[in-house]
Amino acid sequence: MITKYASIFVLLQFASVLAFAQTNSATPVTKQAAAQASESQTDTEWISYRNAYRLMIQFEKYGKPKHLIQNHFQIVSKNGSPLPDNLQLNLVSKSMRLNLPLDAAGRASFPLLKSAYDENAELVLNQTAGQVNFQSRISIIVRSDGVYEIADLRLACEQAMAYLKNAGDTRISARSCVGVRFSYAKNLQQAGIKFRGVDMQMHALALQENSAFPDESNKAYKTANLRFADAAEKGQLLAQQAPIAIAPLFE
Amino acid sequence: MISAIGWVYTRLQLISMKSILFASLFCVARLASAQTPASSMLPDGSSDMYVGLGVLSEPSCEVGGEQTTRIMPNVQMQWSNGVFLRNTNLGMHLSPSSAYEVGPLLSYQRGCTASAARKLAGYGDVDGSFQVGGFFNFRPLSNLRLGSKLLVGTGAGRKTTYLNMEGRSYFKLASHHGLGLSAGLTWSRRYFDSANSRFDPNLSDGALVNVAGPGNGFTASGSEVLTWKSSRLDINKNANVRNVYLGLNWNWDLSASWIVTSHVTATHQFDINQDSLWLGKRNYVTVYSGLAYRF
Repeated sequence: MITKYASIFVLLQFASVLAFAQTNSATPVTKQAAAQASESQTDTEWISYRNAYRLMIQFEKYGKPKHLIQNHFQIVSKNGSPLPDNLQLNLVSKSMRLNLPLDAAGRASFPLLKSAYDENAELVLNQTAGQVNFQSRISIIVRSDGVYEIADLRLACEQAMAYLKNAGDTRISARSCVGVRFSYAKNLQQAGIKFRGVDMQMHALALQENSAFPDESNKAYKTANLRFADAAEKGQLLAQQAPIAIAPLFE
Repeated sequence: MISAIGWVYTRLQLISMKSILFASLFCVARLASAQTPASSMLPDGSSDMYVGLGVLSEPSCEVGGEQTTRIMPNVQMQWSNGVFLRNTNLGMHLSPSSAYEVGPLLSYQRGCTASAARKLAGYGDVDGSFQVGGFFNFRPLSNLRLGSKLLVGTGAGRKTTYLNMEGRSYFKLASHHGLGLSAGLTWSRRYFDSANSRFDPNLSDGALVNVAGPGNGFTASGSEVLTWKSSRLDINKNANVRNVYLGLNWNWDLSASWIVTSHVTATHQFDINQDSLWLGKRNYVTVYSGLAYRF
């Protein structure tokens, strides 16, 4: 009896492998049809656009206040090492090939496209097969004037926490907002990030090497933490240079 | 002659339909990726469908429940308006938020065609039947979904009920490999359909008696009816399913379009005696592996 099941199972797996081989040989053809870039197909990594869509649409559907926060599609390396240079993310389907520019933190704006959904598109990375994860990443929106009211930063942190709790992130369930983290490129000499209290006194914030987001483990950025406990509610944070990312801090 | 062929043909159709439905019911809600079609997580007017074929190994509903293997289709669909189809379950999401999922459900419950041997032992068929009800799922943790289903219907002329409660967790093993763990319990009340039996179940242990009036049995002259009266009238009416199960589901995405899905479910039956659809089979294993196309 066992032999019977074993043989059926083996047959089925064989059929799967055949289908796998077929899809692999078929995919490059369709991709090349839409592609102008020549990339080695062996090292590419992909994720189903529909699965990513389901992850990313949650922020759009979220009904509570979110005007100070944003959601990105982020690529993170599994071992915490920095992402390789010239990493490219493309949305590829039968009828389109769309480059999604990645910022220094591996984040891209995610396009919510019905056509890509209906064509069952793939999000393709040109390298790093098997070494990265995809996730949605909440951060605080960077202001073009570089002037942040502390009250706004606190509100932004609260919005981020409310969203993440709603999405079922259990890591923050018993935590509260304690501050924000501004991140800059590692080679930056002077970020010019200062805190201005109600007395108009300026205090420079110390820079340290850390990850852009507290749940990451690399030291790839120059970061400045502002803790709400140390800052007057009516103060301001002045950032001469636009940061790569502003992360909420929960403790 | 023609009508005889017609009868045989209809009978065959019925049997094959029954076995297909029987088979597909085991596959209900097995594809982890289609397990949580939260409402309106699709673009307006879009749909997400999996259609696949695989091999299923399961015990038959015969006495002893010997393991049988068959080819089984697997169909999972969802639409942007919240309607979804998971094999023989048709439902709709009415949830206003993603915090929980709730909605109505129409379900086809598998039947079981009794063999001649079983009929001789006094059991009838269990006809497949539709049940209506609803579902309610919620997530106490991001990686844990607790789901429940309550259904009612009619089978063999009596009211049937079905209750299922399940906890499910999903883990990403590696790129393109996911593992789903589930544990649940099913409490189902159904009945053998003695009217559908070609053998009178009362024959099993009864003594010959003469009764007057209409009824089943051998028609004698006039209103005299000869029948077998059982000393245990209520025997073999209940075809209940009461079990707990543990499931393991492995999904392997070959591409955005192709997926290999496999699952193993170990089930422990509480009732294996005369009240059960699963006579004499306390523990059994169901195995499925198949290939599905997403379009």
